Amino acid sequence: MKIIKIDKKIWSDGVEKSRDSYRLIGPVKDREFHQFRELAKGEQPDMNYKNSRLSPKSIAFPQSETMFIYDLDEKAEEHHIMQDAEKDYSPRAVIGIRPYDAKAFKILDLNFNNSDYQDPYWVNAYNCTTFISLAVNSPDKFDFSTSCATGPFDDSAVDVLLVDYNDSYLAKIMTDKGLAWLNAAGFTTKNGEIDGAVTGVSEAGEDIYEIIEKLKADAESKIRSKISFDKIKEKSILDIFNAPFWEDIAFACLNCGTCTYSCPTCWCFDIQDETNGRKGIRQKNWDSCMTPLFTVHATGHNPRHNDWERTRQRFMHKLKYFQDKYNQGIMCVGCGRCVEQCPANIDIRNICNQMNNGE
Amino acid sequence: MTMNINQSDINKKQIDIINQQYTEKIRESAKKVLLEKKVDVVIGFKNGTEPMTTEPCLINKASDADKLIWNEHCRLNLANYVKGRKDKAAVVAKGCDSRNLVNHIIEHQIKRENLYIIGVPCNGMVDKSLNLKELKVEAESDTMQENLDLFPINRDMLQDNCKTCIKRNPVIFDEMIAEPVKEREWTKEEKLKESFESVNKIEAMAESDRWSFFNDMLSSCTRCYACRNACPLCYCPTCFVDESRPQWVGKGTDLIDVRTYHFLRAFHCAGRCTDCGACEAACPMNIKVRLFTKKLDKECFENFGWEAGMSLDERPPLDVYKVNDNANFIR
Ligand code: SF4
Ligand code: SF4
Ligand code: SF4
Ligand code: SF4
Ligand code: SF4
Repeated sequence: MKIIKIDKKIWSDGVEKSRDSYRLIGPVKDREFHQFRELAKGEQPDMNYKNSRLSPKSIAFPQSETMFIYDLDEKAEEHHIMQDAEKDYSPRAVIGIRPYDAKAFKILDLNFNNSDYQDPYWVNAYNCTTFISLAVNSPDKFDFSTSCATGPFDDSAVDVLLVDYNDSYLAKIMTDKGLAWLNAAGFTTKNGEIDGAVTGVSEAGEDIYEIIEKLKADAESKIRSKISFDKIKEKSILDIFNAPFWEDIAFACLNCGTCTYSCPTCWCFDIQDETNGRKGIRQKNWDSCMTPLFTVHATGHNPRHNDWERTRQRFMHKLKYFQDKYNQGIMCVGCGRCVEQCPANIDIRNICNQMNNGE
Repeated sequence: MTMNINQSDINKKQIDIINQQYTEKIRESAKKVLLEKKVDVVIGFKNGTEPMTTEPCLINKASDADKLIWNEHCRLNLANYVKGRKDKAAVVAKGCDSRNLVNHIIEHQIKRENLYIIGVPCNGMVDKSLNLKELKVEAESDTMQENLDLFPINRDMLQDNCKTCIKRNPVIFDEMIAEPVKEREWTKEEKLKESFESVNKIEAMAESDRWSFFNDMLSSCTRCYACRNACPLCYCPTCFVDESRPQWVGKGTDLIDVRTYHFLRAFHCAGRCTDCGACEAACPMNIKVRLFTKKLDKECFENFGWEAGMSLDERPPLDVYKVNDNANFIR
């Protein structure tokens, strides 16, 4: 693994230059909050953003994505036949994504790309994306990522990890994909070759590895909230499912979509047809286990009839079923969005600890 | 205990004292009604997991009553948590919550005799986006709390609906936990001008500007429906947006569907909305959804002199026939 130092003075020019071979996505402030979206020409990612309100999962799993289009007009050619919607899977780079939001893509990948099922929309969008991640030097109060097998400096799911350090970004090059973007941006000294002087010890004689380790330790030490889920795994599903605390936990819950929509690891979707006149589309939309429509049967019967059963589902899925099925920790990267945004203060950190330690 | 407070000179220290007194009184009442078996449960607020947050909670044992609290962050409307209950419930209710309880009773969602209303004279709720700004401070520092000590709870800190609240004391109650706070006295003209200022501004816009204003305003709406779910009025067993046979509204992100949801929901709240602000407090995208219902509040006030939830003895305007109605077509 190599590290290069990018002077912030040349940062925006380089980003702009990389457009010759990449579409760019980054955090920008729209109205009140930051969100990840494609950057228009000349538009820079806001590298000082704190957090995006909705997670960046939408770049490969949009809230609403057209899969097919069709025409019901019998006079039209190929009427009543589903046609692939037009897609652009040319190379693109997402700049400034938080390390644990990038990690969330690995979790989503378990669902959308496995030996049984491959969702082509997800797979193509994920594969064409290069993750230029930005380490979080100052985690906020809601962040508990270090409890979730990731963290503010996690480099395991990114192509490049940028570390904000005074007047420069220290760029840890994790993959060839990452190197290719740095080349395209002109941040490497020679094309494809990295100047040895900045790998390890810089001109100023600083030990760059040490600096990154120090910033990482600082950032991690700022994270105060911790969760544990080790015991959840050993407990039986039914014991937790039937635990006495659910109705109490769920009392305040409004069963809205806030937590699931803002979550980088919630992957549920629904398929819908929309027609306008004779033209139609088939789309894939976010869904949420908090809503009654999620489970209602064609008969009208709803196996998750009660509000509190729906609240239980969210936490059982994230903290128990997922652990049992994949044996890869929990389905949560500790980004804290659901905690921050829940209108009723339902806090997954408490619930997790209750499931872990409670009867 | 007399607490006749002028809103402008309440500062954080005074608020702390009031909160403490209210909290003690609420706990006392909760214990009493549970022990005397007047009610099966008490619905109130408890502290949230982060500073400046609260969580609605259900207490069914007197020994748990000490979980209950009161402060300027009790933004949700607890009338939302009693709808459909069959047991006897005590509810901690500020002015607007009580008006929504009146609505529930009028609309037969709950029986008055099943309710025990613990009335809270309200000094207004602090705008939650003030929290957001404050909470952005780094995890390690607790400057937020310190900053707060310096803030007086002045009008600027209140959420929009509290700035123009017409009823801070509960309309109906079984007991009051403190002396009533002063209500603002204002004429119909003053109300139309000030209380509906936000609506008046939009009414003054050119049609096309208004259209783009609303489109921009709704552009970040994810239709998470937190606004609907936080609203005590929205108790339909299946909301029109969730109806699947037939499906009235598309499920994607098409603005047509987003607007349909907001406009229709607002009309469903006409003559019923108490301007409690729970919908806005719940919205994760900080969208000013109250603007829509406020417009209909204005129509009701202007045309029928109606303000929702103020009396158990009067039917809401859309539910009543009067020979002196303004409009010819109905006479
Ligand atoms: S936990 Fe919070 S955000 Fe999630 S559905 Fe319940 S009220 Fe909404
Ligand atoms: S469950 Fe909450 S904290 Fe965990 S990843 Fe999802 S939004 Fe973030
Ligand atoms: S928590 Fe709910 S919405 Fe999220 S992935 Fe699981 S079942 Fe789906
Ligand atoms: S709460 Fe906000 S984002 Fe959610 S549906 Fe209502 S207006 Fe839209
Ligand atoms: S629409 Fe909003 S302000 Fe009106 S009663 Fe419902 S939650 Fe309260």
